[in-house]
Amino acid sequence: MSTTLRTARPGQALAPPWAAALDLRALPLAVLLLCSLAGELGLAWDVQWHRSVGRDAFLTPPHALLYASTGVAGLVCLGVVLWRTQLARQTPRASAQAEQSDDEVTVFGVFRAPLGIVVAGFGALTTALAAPLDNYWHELYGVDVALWAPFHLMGLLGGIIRDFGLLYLAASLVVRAPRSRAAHAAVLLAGAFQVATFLNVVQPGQVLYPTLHVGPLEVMDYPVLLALLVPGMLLAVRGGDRRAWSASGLAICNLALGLGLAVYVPWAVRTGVVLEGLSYRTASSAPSFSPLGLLPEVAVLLVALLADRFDGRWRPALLGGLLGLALWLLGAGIGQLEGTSTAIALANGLEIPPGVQVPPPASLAAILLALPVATLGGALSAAVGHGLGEILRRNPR
Amino acid sequence: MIGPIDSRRVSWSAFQLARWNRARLPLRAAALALLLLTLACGSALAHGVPARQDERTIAGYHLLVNQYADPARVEQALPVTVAAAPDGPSLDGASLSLVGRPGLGTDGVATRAVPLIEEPLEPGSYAAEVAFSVAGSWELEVQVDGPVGSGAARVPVVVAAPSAIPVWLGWLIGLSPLAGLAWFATWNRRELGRLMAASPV
Repeated sequence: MSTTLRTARPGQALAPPWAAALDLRALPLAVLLLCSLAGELGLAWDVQWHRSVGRDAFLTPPHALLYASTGVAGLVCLGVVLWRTQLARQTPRASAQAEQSDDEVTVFGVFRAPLGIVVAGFGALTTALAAPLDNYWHELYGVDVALWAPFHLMGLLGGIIRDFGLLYLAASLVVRAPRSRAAHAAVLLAGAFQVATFLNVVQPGQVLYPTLHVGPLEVMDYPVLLALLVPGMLLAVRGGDRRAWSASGLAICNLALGLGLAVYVPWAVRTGVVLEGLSYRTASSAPSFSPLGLLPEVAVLLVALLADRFDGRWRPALLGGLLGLALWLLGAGIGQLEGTSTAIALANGLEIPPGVQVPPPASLAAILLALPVATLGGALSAAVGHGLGEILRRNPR
Repeated sequence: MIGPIDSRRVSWSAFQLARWNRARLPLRAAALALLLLTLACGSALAHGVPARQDERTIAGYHLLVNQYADPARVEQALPVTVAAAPDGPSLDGASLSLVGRPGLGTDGVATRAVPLIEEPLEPGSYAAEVAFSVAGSWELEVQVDGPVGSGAARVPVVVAAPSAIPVWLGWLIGLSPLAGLAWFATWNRRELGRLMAASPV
């Protein structure tokens, strides 16, 4: 087997084009993307499983999927790191060449691997470390620990770091082979998985925690969080993918993923309940397909269309402000719609587990106060995302 | 008849004894392991002395419900045995099962029903293990279906939590990956400067 420590200048295609797709990065990237897809399925399934069934053990079916995907991703990253490190030891000349040509990064002065693999590996490790701690937290505080709990967030941060790794890895393939459609598609998919994770992270802001209390002030948090996270990722992917419709492409992938989850999750929960002989927590706990659940994905698509339209014409911060404003409008609407419909359902006898408390929707003052915060947040996010996009556009590592 | 000892034969025997001793070492280790295994199995089957015993009458059956840990530990299997009281009807032909149900104030869901199986070494005693996912007060529901009748009754169980870390420490550990992300952002900033210098457009 020949060593393929290739050297390529940014923007230079390796010939033939398909050779780049078969480079050492492509296969791990494909496996890691599948792991991320399985992770998204597992996460959405797990959230609904908690609501519908509860949590009677650590290894519930969704947990098994979630942590199996994390384990496989971690092992793939570890395998690539060990392989590349061993190869670098065996061929020091090629190793030195690779280092000079920005082919890989060195970690702890010993290990060698593509940057994206290293980042994704740390992400998988973080999620794996969070698993027993999350179990411990549930043992202490019960089944209905919200998604915004320390070790849920630790696991989600691991997922976010892993998806960043995928983005770096996919973008490095685009740098090496700009004409490779698979590499461009991988960038969009990695971005879509990242945005899907972001939407999961901010979801409790819709109903369970609609407002953030800062002293005497109340701020509606859902649109602010959307504005802080989404514009940056859209602009980063535009930088990595370099096509006129990159942000929209990402958003369409994200919408397709959301639609798939909206169909898959109720089926998976119902099937799991039947197969395992379980019962639902309350009479109204059985899940069903709800198109309203896709509103955040639609909001991201609308904002992505704006990003594609104005990126390059407006300064990133200014564009980010516009995106933040749009996300404030859409996010506040979604939050109020969800909060109000939940309140109405509760008034009409919707059963919820006894440990769960649903606060009233955000007040008008909280919504209005979120406007400047979301606009500023969007500007900040876009500035950071633009910088990340510049790195992704140039970084062959 | 005991005669004079042949010195050559004595030395050969000593050598042979040493070899035999060396050969016996693995045998001794195996015997010790077997003994320990037997003891472990024995104690597992016999359960020892119950830590808590409750009496319940279910549909004509007078039952003794034994728990072998009090309090039970979260996520650790609690051995439970159920036997007919000496003054009550026998459980012959009855099927028994066990479900853990969260008590008042415990944020949990019921455990899966587990069948109670008659112990081979203690006829008339039915055993099962149940694990609780959350700390707090629980109830153990014993369900009986037999010739005398069918029904269910509950006995209380206290499930102790693992030793708790402070909430602030939980948040500190949980959000610690953010420090890594912050470091990576700084690294990216330097990287961007380097890449811009190498390839301005």
